[in-house]
Amino acid sequence: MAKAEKPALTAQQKSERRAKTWQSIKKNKWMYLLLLPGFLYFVIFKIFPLWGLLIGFKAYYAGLDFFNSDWVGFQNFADFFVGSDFLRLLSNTLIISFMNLIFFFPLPIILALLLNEVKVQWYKKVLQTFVYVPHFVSWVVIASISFMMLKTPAVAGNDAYSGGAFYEIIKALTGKETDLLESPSSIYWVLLVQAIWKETGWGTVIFLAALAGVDVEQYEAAIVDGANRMQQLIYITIPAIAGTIVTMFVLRMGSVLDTGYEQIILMQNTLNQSKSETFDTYVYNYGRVGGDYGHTTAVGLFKSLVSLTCIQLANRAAKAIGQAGLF
Amino acid sequence: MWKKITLTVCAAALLAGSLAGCGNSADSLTYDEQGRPIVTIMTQSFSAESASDDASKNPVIKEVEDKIGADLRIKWISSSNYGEKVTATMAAGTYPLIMRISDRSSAIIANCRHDTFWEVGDLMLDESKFPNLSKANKDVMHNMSVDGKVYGVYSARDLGRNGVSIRKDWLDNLGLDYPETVEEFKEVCRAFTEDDPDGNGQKDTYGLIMTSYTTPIKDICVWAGAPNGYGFNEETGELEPAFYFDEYLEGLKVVKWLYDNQYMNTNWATMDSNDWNNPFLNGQGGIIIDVCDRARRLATNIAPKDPNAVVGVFGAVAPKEGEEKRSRPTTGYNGFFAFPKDAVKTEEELEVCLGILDKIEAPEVADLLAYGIEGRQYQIVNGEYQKFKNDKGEDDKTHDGEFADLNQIQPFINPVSSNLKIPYATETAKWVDEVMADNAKYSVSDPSAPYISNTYALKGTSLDSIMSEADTKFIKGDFTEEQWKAAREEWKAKGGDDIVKEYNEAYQQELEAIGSEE
Amino acid sequence: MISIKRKSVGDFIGEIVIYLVLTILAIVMVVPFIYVIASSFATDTEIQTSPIFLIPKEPTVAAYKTVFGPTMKHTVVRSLVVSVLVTVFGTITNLFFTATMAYALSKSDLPGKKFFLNLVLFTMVFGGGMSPTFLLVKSLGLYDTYAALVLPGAISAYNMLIVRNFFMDLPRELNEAASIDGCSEIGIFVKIALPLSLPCLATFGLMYGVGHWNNYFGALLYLEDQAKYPFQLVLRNIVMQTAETTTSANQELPEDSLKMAVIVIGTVPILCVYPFLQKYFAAGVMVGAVKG
Repeated sequence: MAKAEKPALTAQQKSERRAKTWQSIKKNKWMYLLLLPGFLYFVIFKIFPLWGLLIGFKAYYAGLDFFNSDWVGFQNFADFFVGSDFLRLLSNTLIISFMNLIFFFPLPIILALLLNEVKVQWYKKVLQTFVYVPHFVSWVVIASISFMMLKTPAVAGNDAYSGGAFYEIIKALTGKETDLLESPSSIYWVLLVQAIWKETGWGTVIFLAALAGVDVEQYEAAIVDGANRMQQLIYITIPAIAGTIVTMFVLRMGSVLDTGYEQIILMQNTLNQSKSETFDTYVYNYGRVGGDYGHTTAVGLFKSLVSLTCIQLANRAAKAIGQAGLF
Repeated sequence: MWKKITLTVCAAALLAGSLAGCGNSADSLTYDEQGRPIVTIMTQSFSAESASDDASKNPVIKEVEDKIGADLRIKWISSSNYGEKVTATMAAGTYPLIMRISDRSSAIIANCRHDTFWEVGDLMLDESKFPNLSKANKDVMHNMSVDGKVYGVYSARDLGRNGVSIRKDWLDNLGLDYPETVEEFKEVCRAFTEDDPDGNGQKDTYGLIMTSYTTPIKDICVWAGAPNGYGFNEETGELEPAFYFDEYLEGLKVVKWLYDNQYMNTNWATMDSNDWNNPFLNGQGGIIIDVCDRARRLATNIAPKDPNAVVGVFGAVAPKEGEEKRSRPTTGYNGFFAFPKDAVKTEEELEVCLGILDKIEAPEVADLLAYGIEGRQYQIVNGEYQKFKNDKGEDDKTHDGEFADLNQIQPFINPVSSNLKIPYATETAKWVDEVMADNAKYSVSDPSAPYISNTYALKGTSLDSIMSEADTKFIKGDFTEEQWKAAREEWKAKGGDDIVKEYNEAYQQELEAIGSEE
Repeated sequence: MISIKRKSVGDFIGEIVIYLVLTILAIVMVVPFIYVIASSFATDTEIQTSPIFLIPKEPTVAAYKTVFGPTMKHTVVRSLVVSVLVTVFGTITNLFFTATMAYALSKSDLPGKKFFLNLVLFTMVFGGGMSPTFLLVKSLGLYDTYAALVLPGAISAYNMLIVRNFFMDLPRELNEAASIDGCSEIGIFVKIALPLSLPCLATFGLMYGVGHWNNYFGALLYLEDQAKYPFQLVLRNIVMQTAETTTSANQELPEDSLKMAVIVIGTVPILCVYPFLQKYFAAGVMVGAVKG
């Protein structure tokens, strides 16, 4: 946002400039009319609520009068950091985020590279259609399917009854009868597999777009030079999408504390809550459901500030290693 | 650039500030053409489609409304997002006349303190006005109170729900009875391990089944004479946590004795509570301390594996021969019906609303809510309730939608809740009901139940785990008695003392409040 | 184009492996759908006795009969209607707000453009959070209205910026030609810019539309009256009731096949629309996302 120092303007220059700007504004009046709905939207629904961040400094609960509730300064923040929830939320959030980063993040890249190798165009289209589909399915439906696949047998100990597909697979592999929906740490794997199934295919779109931009002549030149497929991949294809990968990585790092609400809340139950509660779901469970607006707004504000810092850092890091940042 | 944004933000904030707080639209008490009060009730639903409150379409609701003399408008909210909607209703101010509240969150407590709801404690106990509601249990009312005041009609649950599932056939094989004292309980565990209760000639059984879920230890400590949660110490004149009392240690020593002699499963500290039933169903272990209902499920599940198995159930146990039996009760309620002042505007209106709940408590109305109308949803055969059968011989549920979820508007305070004789599916199911009723007589209530400790809200989970770890280590022999006591000191130092102090302050406040009233 | 006829053996094996892996992957992606459809036509006994199957042994439409039977019909049909209407009106609103703002911001010479862009970027990284937004919706009188499902998410900043990039790439000359012909700025927008960006708008229309159809969370937050619930929330409540059996042990639980039938009904519309719009996921549109 830094700007070069402007030379001081004389009064006349200033008024000329002002007149010119005014003229330009008048010329663009219809443009402003087009801009108005969107502008109002952002001001009302995105900027207005910032005022509500003051709630974080009050002992304010659903049902009370905002103006009559007490100011408590930084008490809500202090309570949160001193209390036993903070470390638990932080570790759950980071575990979910980093499992996502390690196991899920590379998959769309690999899949895109594989799809890029498919030269039979109609088959490529068919494959794409198939792998994109899960993206368009709601979390509610995915949760329902998960319940079906993870469930334990309807009647315990009777061999005629069978659990869901995943339950049986895990039973066959480990010999243990685990209730994946209720044993706490398995929630991480459930969330990960759901995310992989839903978004891997769709995640390729952006990389395929980048791959489509690679000049065909480069490959032809490489083939003439005797490069095999592997070498083409390493020396041409991967460098071509490196920028996109870094950008996506930066975005991911910037939102490392964002686990979202929709997916986790559907899979959450009292038995796995100790492991599945993240900053986002905590704000929902204790704020929207529990009605403790003051405390949870403080938690949300803390998370927003950390996220903001993360984005800035990640962006700077991307620029430092010579890639275009986000802004 | 950021400066401009800041300016916009400030301007917007001012505007938004002027908007906040407006827009209340709570219901109010009105009367229909027949002069009956129109009462709106918000409660939870479990069915895909709950019963309609339209009397012209639903004969059950018509019958109910005729009996209670009111026009009911039920706002069904799915149980899976009930808490959410209660909060939203409070935030939006769109209150019904009667609102079921499912938990005691900090927001609900704050609202009670800010007089959002009517205080009904004394009024509902007026026998002349509310013959059914006045039968309410005082312990339960105390448990749900906020600063000594009761802000609604509680929705009752069995106080005596905690109980022990046990292999009755093993007891019979050994010629033993249900244990009545702690010593007898120890003897049963020993006999289940050493005296071959299943008669297969092998020593392949044991007594108590425990998991890493350590709540059963609390039951045993209560049996041994320790308070439930908190107790009043005569010497200090203060409320103190159970583990300050010697009897608690006695209880722990009972479990330690079971562990040392292998009269219980030795892998309990690492066993997942999801696997709790398995040793019981496989005929390895014979006792599970949990809720009585578990016996019913165990009975159903063990039948295909071992047709000879009989699952029995018992509740209270005395510390010593000749002493009173003791049982650790539940809080006795699961949510309550509150009357928001924004909707119920006068005390007369409050009495109308309480009157409706009181009439719903009458057995003949309760039966309508739970089973429908005789001759439509069920029949009486040989004096017993029976469902109609369809062509396939299954229960005919065609009209069951007419009373789906209706019992969710009932507080269940009246101990006489039905005129019907409902046959039990299994003998165990019958015993479960008997034991739960019996347990209530011996319940040791937790005096600290209604109190709110800010420190506990913040650090409770980690403090609780200090003590439950110490208990576990003591039982396994990793801790001596001295080390266990040192853990207790750690608990005190890390915030326990503050919790005790806060509870005692609340306790004193309540005493003063009662004193000043009298 | 030069084509190399001879492939090395390694490349050939590699190719086979790639095709095989991708084919298996594609199948894995669709198996759950087939399972859902199959079990919606199966008996509960079959669902409980086999972990997974793709064709039911004794096909039955009992589940569908129940869904459209007296106890559930009202809820299901009504919520489907609600979902369709919210999706249609929501998407139109989204496209209107997004396209107008994106077009205005695509003008390079618009005074204050930078301010507006920064405003948008700022909201992307910093927000008021859930409770303040809820209080705002309530204060605006939108609580328990369908508008609350549409307006708070009228623009996705991310989508708007991509559409803006698309508008910026439109050839300038067309505008100039049009304005010489006497077309006003808004005329150019409606008559030239919009038709030219149809593929782009179709893509984002699909994104927004799918978002509305799949959204249960907005309804969970902002709707009170169960009669107004959209389909996904009804589905969630049906499904979650079984997930929480412990709290409601004696209640009748929806059977698995029934739940699957409801899922099929709720997912089919999306899957029907999808192939028609798939051709628009052309590389061009998404490249904008990379540029941010």
